[in-house]
Amino acid sequence: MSLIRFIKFSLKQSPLKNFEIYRKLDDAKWGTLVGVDELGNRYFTNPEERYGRERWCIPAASHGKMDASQIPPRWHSWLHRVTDEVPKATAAEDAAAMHRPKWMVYPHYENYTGTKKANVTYNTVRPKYESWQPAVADRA
Amino acid sequence: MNQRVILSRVASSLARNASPVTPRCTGALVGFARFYASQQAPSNIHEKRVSENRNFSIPHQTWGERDATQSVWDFSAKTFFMTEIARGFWTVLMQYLREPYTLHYPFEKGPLSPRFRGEHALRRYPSGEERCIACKLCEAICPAQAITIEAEPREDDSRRTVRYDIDMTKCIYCGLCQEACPVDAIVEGPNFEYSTETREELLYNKEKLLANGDRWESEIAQNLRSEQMYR
Repeated sequence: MSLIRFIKFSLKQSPLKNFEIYRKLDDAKWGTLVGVDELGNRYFTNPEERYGRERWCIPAASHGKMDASQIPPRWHSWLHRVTDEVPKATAAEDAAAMHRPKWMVYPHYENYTGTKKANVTYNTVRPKYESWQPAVADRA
Repeated sequence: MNQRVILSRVASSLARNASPVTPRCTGALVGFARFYASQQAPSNIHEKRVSENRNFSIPHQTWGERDATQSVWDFSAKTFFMTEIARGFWTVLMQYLREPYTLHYPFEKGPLSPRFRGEHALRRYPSGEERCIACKLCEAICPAQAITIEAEPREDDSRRTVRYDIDMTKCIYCGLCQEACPVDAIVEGPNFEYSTETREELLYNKEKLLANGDRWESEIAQNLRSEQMYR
C-alpha cells in the first residue's frame, strides 16, 4: 500500500464515499464517473493512475454478492481496454445506437453457478428408438 | 633448522612486504598470508610441481586482491557490524511505501485482445434465425474432439442441428472451430468468467450456447467488426 497515494485519494472525496470504496474495493480510488450500466454498476476513470489501474468499476451488488461476471458485454470491453467507446447514457439511446434486436439479452445476468439457476445440461435430441411395449394378445 | 634461519626468513619477508611494489599491508592476517605466498620455491622436483600450481588462481577474490580493493578492516567491519541488515530493512521500507503494481482484479481488469478466445457462443442473424447450418466443419476440425453435432431437417425443410454439444472440459480453446465456420455461427467470445462449481455445468448443449450468443452478441459483433480487415 502506498501511504501517500492512499491519503491523497482519500482527501479528494467525502468520507461517506471513501467508506464505500474502502469497503468494496479494499483500496483508495478517486476518479471521474464515466457512466452507469443497466445493473447500476458505476464505471470510473483516472488517467493519472498506474497503467492497468486507470479504469475500474464499483459494483452495484453488496459486498458479499459482488462478482466479476456482473459486468455487461460492452462495458466489459471498455473495462478490458478492448475499445475506448463508451456505451450511451440511457438504455434506450444505447439500443437505438447499436440496433439491438429483441432476442439479445438486455439486463445482463451474472454467472449463475452455485445457485438454483445454474446451467443443467440435457439431451436435445429425441430418442432414436422406442422401447418395446409388451402387449399380451387375447387368447380367447 | 635453527632459530637464526627462521628469524632471517621472517625479516626478509617483512622487508619484502614493506617494499613499495605491494600497495598496502594492513592486518596481521594479510601479512601472514603474504608471508606464506612469498616463500622461496624448493628445489625438490616434486615440490616444484606444487609450487607451479600456485600460479593457478581459482576465480574468487584472493586475499591479495581483497587487500588491493578493500582493506580487511573495512570488510570485517561490514561483516561484524552487520550493515547488511540495516540496508535490507531500508529496501523493505522503500518497497512498502512504493505504489504497488497489483491489479485489483474484479474491479480493475487487464487488457484483452478483440481476438480473445474465451467461452463459446452460437450466434444468430439479426432476424433471430440461428446461423448454424450443421455443416459439421467445426466438429471435423476440432483437435480435442469436444464438439458433437447431430442434424435433422426442420419443419420448413431447412437443415439445422438438433444437437450441438461442446464439452468445455475437453476444449483446448485453439479457435479452429470459429475459423472453420463458414457462417460465423460458432465463435469464441470475450467472456472468460464462466467458472463453475460442478463439472456437469461445463457440458454445454445447444441451448446454453445460444444463450451465450444472445448474452454476448453485442460485444462479439463489436470485436468481429473491429477485426474484419485482418481476417
